[in-house]
Amino acid sequence: MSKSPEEFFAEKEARVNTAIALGVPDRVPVTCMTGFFPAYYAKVSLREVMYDADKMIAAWTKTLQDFDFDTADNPFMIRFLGAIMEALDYKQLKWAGHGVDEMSGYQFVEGEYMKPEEYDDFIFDPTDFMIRRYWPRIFGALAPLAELPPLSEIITYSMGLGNFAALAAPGMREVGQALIKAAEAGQQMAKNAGQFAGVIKAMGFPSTYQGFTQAPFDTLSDYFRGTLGGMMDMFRHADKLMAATEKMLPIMLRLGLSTKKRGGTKVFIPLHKGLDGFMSNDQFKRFYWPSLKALMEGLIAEGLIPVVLWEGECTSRLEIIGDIPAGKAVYHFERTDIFKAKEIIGDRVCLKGNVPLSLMVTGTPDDVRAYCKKLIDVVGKGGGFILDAAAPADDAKPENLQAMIQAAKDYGRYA
Amino acid sequence: MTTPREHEHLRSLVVDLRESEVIAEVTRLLEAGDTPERILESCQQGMAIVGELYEQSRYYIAGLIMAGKIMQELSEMLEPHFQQRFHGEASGKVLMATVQGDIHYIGKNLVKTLLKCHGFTVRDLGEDVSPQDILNAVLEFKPDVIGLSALLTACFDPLRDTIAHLRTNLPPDVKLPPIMIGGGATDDVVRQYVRADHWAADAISGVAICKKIVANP
Repeated sequence: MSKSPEEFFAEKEARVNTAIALGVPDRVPVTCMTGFFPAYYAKVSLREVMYDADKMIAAWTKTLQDFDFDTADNPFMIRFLGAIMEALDYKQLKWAGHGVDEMSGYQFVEGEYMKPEEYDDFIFDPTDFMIRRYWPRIFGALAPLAELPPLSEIITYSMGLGNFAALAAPGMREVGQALIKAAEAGQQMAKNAGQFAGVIKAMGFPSTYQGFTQAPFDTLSDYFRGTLGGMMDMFRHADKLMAATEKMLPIMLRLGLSTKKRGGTKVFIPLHKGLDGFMSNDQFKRFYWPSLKALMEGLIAEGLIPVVLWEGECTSRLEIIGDIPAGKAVYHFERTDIFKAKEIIGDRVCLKGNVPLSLMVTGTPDDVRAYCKKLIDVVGKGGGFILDAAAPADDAKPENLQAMIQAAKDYGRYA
Repeated sequence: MTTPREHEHLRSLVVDLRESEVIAEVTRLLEAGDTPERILESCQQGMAIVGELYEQSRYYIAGLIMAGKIMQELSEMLEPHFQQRFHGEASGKVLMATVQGDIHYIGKNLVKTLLKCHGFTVRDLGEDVSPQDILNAVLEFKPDVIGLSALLTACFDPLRDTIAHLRTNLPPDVKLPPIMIGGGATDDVVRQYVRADHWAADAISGVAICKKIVANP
């Protein structure tokens, strides 16, 4: 008799959670961050799924029907953004049909969205800085907010009530309309996300993660200062960069902890600027690692599991990054030497990865199977390992994804 | 007249990436009547050492970005003072572009900085460049090496199409220079897939490949 979705769910969840706790599950779990793959697979444009919830649900459901992963992605929170970004005239991304063709994924628009001389304003009051300086730059529709006086000066009858006059300035009515549009699109997205979470569960899949946050240094460097700004600030404005990173930590922690309120346990943290090559180990230890470690420890202390995607290569950091509570996190590696990682930190943290995207996109199922077998034999030894592609596999060949799943089933049995 | 010791000092300020002190020192040397050529020579020597330190993994991308910024500022400061351009033709010419469909530039620009440290003349066509624009630039600029960058896996096909376009559409009397690829998820598997001649794992190997090609044309 075949298993019920509830039984599948329990089996998959136990398999993944046992690996995370560094135990030995029934077999090596296999999962994949599929990115926009389901749209390509279902042969609908990315533009369509970003704006039409039914098409998104259909494409992702078809993928789950055909690919027996041990966890599933819920795409809505970061992919069903077309209407919201449109309403706000969002500047930091090009997306399908908006700056790139209708079949193209996201492309981030690098920029200096905060000037170095604005560090003090950010550190003094990040929220005020964001509303009056940052938002007007990243959302074209909110540009008039740059004319507002500081909101924290609206305090009482004798201080600031007259400041509401600023809301009568030219363009503010349009700001209000854009915000209402974005709010309605946001509500719709949240509704669809909840609906699809139910679909995933009913099909017997635990979700890969339920929350999102980023390393404080990355948030500053990715979105505020830009890659170039973030790198140069380590030389030019080291103290201010440190102070801003410390200011960002509780914001990123609060964001990660909100996962718990939604009943989730796993918090996805993609890392960008701490890679080998970008900065020295001394710079990593000074500027990057302390706030990332504090973020992970803060999440772990509340019973949450950081699922950290170390993009690029981080082999030279292995000795440093194992310093977190054992069996409480996942490190997903892209190009890091995962075999070396097994030796150095395999007893501290569950390892995930890392079938190269070049194989997933251009290789054959035999290539993929051979690579997976090696990963399972060496990195999977004694548990604490989840098989996955090296990074989100938007452009993978379907037969290569199937080969990866089959490899876990054929070679990954522990019993 | 300034002394060799002062130039040694300038060189070490460049090597240590002490931006504001470099600018102050160059300003002072110019005011003291030093020639821009001599100042530039010392700075370029410093840049070459930065490149070496990066190759030895003693400097990192952050340092290279900082060095690129200092070099740009120096070039803006010194350019009005002399006719000679801020490069040496001797090391060879590299044409660079991020392929169509991809707007990322940071890795490409790092290779460019490092190539300039090594005296190459670089023409950068920017990002999201069509195969035809690259072909036109090959005909006009006559590079020794073509460097194509792609961060996204979705750009493996545009990369392959660009290279096919170059191989197919170049006039028969024009020899296609070697093509090097790099960036993001590229590796040797991708190199074979797109039919490029070389794959640069990082900025250092990119420069090494260019040097080798120019040395053995």
